[in-house]
Amino acid sequence: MKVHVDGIEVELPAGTSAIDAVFSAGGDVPYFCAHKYLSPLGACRMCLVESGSPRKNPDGSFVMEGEGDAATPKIFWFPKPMASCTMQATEGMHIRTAKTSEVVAKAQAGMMEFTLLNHPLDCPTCDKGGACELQDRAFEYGYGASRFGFDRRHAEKHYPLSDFVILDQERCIHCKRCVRYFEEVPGQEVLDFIERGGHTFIDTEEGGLPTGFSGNITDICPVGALLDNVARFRGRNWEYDHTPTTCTLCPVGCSITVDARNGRLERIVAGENRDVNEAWICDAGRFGHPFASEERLTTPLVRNEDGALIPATWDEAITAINRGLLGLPLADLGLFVGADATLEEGAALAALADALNARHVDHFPRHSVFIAPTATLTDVATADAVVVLGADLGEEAPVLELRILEMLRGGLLPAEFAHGTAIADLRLVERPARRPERLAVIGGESRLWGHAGHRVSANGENALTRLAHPDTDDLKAVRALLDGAERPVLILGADALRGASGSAAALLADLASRTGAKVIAIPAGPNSNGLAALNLVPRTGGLGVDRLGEVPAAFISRLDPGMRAGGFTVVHDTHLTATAQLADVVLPAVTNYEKRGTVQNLEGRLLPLNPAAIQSGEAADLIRTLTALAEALGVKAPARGQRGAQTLLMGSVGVNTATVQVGGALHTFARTFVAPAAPHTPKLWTERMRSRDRDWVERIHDLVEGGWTLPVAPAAPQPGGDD
Amino acid sequence: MSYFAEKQPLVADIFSRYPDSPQGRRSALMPLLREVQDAEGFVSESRMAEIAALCGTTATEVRSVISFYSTYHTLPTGKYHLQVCSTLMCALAGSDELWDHLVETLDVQPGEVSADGRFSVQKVECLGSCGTAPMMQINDDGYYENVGPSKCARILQSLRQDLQPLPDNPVPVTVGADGRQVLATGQAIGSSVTGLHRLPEQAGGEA
Amino acid sequence: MTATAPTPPKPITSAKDPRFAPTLYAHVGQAESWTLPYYRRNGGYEPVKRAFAMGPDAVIEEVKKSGLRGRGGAGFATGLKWSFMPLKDGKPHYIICNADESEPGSFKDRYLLSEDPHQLIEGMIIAGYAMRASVGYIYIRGEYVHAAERMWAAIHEAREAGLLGQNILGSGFDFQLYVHRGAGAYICGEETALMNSLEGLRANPRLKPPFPAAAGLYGLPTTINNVETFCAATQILRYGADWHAGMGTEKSKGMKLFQISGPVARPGVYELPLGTTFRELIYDWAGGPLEEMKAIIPGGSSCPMLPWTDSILDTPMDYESVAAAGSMLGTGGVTLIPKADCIVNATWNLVRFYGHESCGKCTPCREGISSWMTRMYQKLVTGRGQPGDVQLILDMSDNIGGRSFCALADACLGPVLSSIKHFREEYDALAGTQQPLYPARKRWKDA
Repeated sequence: MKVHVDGIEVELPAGTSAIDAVFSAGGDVPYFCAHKYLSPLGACRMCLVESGSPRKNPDGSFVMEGEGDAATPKIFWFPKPMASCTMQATEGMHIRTAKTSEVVAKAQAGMMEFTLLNHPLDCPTCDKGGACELQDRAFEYGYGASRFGFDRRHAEKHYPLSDFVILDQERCIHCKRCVRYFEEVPGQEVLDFIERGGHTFIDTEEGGLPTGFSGNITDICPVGALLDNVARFRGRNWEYDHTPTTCTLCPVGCSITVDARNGRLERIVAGENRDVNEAWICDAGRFGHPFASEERLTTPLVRNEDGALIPATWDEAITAINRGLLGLPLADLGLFVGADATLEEGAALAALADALNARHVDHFPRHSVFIAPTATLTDVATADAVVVLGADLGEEAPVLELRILEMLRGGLLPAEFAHGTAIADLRLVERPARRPERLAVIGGESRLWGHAGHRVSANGENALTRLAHPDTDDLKAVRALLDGAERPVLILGADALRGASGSAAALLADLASRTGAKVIAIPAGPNSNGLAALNLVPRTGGLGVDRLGEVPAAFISRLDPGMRAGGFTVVHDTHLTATAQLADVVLPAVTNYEKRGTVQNLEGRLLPLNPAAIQSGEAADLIRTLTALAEALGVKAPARGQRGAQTLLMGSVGVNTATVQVGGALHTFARTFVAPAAPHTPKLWTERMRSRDRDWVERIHDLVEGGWTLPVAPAAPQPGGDD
Repeated sequence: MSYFAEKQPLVADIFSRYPDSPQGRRSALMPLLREVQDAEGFVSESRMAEIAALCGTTATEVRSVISFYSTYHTLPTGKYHLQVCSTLMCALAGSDELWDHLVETLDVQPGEVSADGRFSVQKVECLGSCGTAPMMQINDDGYYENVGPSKCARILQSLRQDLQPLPDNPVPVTVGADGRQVLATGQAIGSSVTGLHRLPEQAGGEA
Repeated sequence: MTATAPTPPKPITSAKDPRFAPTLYAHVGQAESWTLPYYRRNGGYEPVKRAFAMGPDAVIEEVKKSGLRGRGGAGFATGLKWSFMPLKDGKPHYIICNADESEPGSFKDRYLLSEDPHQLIEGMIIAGYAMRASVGYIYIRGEYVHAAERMWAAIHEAREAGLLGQNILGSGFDFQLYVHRGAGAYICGEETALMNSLEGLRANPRLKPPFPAAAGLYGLPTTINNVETFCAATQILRYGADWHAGMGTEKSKGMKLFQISGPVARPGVYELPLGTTFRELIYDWAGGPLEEMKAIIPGGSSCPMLPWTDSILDTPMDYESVAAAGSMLGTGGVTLIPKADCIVNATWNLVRFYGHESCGKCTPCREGISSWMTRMYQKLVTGRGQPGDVQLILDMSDNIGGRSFCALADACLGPVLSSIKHFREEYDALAGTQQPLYPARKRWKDA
């Protein structure tokens, strides 16, 4: 259909909202209540436009105006401006924005005056200043002055809704984004308006917002009413260096922006990736970052004669390693790495292992089987049945849970335009009807459990077998759901994959082909899928990281098993972990926020990491650290830097990660390496995310201990760390 | 202590009015609130939580709904909660003076309860009794209409003795047997109502 | 065959017309009028039999033919509204009676509910039958305790008598009816807010489209009508569409319950044909004003007030004529404002009402009305007015009018703009000298 915006004709698909028509035509209207991934509301009344449409005569011809050839269809204008976010554009519609309409310009200026009526204008002390939608729009569309000669509304200015989110009720402009977000996205009715009319404010009666996905409201709040309490008063928006990158806390790989100031990581906000996390991230990903700028190792440490670890230069550390490994057959050196290392780092490590002919090579955590993903996150969101087996998504892949909930409310993904995701997709509605009967959860209780229409308590480890051969009515119902669905997706979690073998993979393949289900097996670590393509598992005669104590000597990168190798032990980590404290030489590492590289998420999407401006002294990523290790061992370094590692990767697995774009790209590796693995229980919040110097983060400690709201299965102490 | 645990038939009756679906369950929210408030005079936080569980929602949502509507209370009111209509039609009949009189003689401000626990007052908006203004409502019991000074005094005197008069339901204008609109006293009104027509035969008679 | 058609009888536009007799209100105030035996003795539940005999589509045609328009205020053609329901989609349908009578100056429905509940029940059965709805809800405003009790009692009586439930009167039609009490919110009179309230939510109005006939209560096709509309449907099925169409004017047909309040001899509810003049209501029926008047609110507080002039008094009370005079017929709730009362104070009372009742969803209403307009009026009436205040009120009104999510903000502007238009000098006095032209006076007295 053709729509005319301020005289510019644009061709748009039917169903487009007027606000998206305006933006498609390169125009602009201010808006506060509309949000890309939430239902259009029409509450803030800022996006007013004048609009009119042609009408048809009873004979089907257009009512015309003008004479002869100059005649054009007469446009019947609405008598008053309309909210463009809740109005559907129609064929031949004409729209005037403030650019061409005095009426609209005045209406918007007047509305801005109302919006600012009770707003405190404490911008100089507001964390939102400089990145505030209200501030920006007030400059663009406001009168520049208020005629409201009365005292403004006074309300609570420092009201913590949880340890992570703080509310300033005076600043709230009642756009309802946060309330709609909780109801529509994580499906939690935990925040709502209280009172009515001019007295309306938002509050929770739940004793605090639940940890999980609460931080997203700080992103979508168009003013400084809801703020990230972790980043509170840490910097002004124009002072931050913004680095778009990928979160590697779990295998979802959400798009994030890391905000650093003066070399400190102060804040993480969600980035948009329509294919992965839309615009949402989990609370761990958002708030679990203070460790990155606290108590970092900034120089190598070498153990002296007195047995104390003392700061040293890299050269001294290389010398110490050289000395410590003297006489050790190179093939006896264990090489172990955390599963959030990048593909490039993995390629460098694999190449060094090859060069040393090392046997004891491993990454952690990983499963004993590799099940290639056949479903994407978009497939999950648009499925008509999802069966979750033995997964605790809140710990393993939180945003996957959001995509499943999206499926429950109909899997309506907002349309995409040249100007980006639709600002107001009119198919999204408030309080959407949900289809719990489309979701089955088999395993233990979890947050998702409450949303599922089919719930089967099962020991995760035999869940797959039981689903393949259903032995109860409940399981038969789940099978019927799978069999009857057109686009089913099976999701397997750690409980289902723990100890799984090749026969399980065969069983799954059979079940998938019988039911037509696509599959996502949640990888054990953030980049386990990618690292599985590299020969980073114990080789013939080699030991895994679970048997570290038996390995004669080891280089351990960003793993914290809490023990040392049998002999000389080199630890490469960001902090002085328990393991590092036992090491002979400690090399400072960078966090994934500081890396350039590539990871592969649970759906097989290659996603880029970009380095944020965080001070970490002489810390180095694994590639450069391996160069130092190679020097100490007297062998040729596998790669001298990122470029070299990319070349290695190209050579070993045939993928050019230099070309991976921001949104990422799906990729299937031709070959994967598997080996038996030690059991592992995934945990999202880890000890290392605990902040040392701020008391609010005491609560994170509770999360780590499993004491607060996150359901964490009691688990025996496991070797290895994870982050 | 649960309010509804012992009242399963009542709860079942309320739920039976609405569809057997999550949305239908939520519809029972207002009737359940009304039950609690009529019994206890207000809705406490524990009752909010209980009702939330019954309706499949959260205490946040229940509080949100309670606070939206003006007749629910989250704090105890007096034994007699006097709600005085203050909107224009009653104001034209002196409701402001009625209000001032109540506040003064009962020595109670909105939001307070009188010292003897008997009275609380609330200004409310149009209660749909404009033909019999001024008026007030007591608790959830009913209307007291045409509340002039002497009637007000009689009501307060009775309430002080805990003898609540029955609510009135006067119908100011009715229709007499002859089809004329008359006053409640039977007095015919309208200047030319002679020879009123008989209504046509009921069409149903032919069917 | 005759050569010329008989001249159609002149429509009835006065209750003094000997052909007119009250029907909606005929039994209000009679002893036991709310009971089923009384109702049946007076011809009750015969109209529904006629409806069943006609078939549902014919019922809709009959209502269309009668010219009945919604009596809740908007005056939308009832038969047309009923025909918007997707009649053959096989989904459950709902009908809702809007008995949330909250518009200041309106009090007709309360008497219909409490004094003649079966008339409403019958109208809803008829409407449910026509619209293939098997469940109906009567949303009664929370404060109408007595009305809700009478309504429930009548529903139980009707159920016992087989008039509600399965296979009503052997027609094969199933219909259940329930009362749902509100809890004090004017906005619930807005149909989509009412549906939210019925669903146990905050009563914020919903987006339209989708319209209730497509996706209403619980997302299913729903039609909402006023109490009087359903009752009128009962009478139309009793006396026929032609009878109904024989009253009123060309576009406003039938009878209407008019309410009159303020200082008149006999305030109350009067059933009159549409097209009856204000003068007839005020002088002939209500016995005339008790003191000198200056303004008439013609149809509930949101309808712009009109000056007390002969031409207004001689205006027929029908949708078109009142609109032509610059206001709206609304609910037919007429209020008279005496000359000796300050119009700014009277308007302040209503502005405060709308400010109190704003749901807070949209900015112009929450901030413009609830926060700002109320304080502008408070400022004026408390003697703190300044020159320019009236101009500011007008400009704010311009920024509010037509910009809000629902009609509540516009409803507030009805009395604001009309009072400024007709009584500007009273505003100017308060803004200029801080003194009202008509100071407060004592009004509370025994009846």
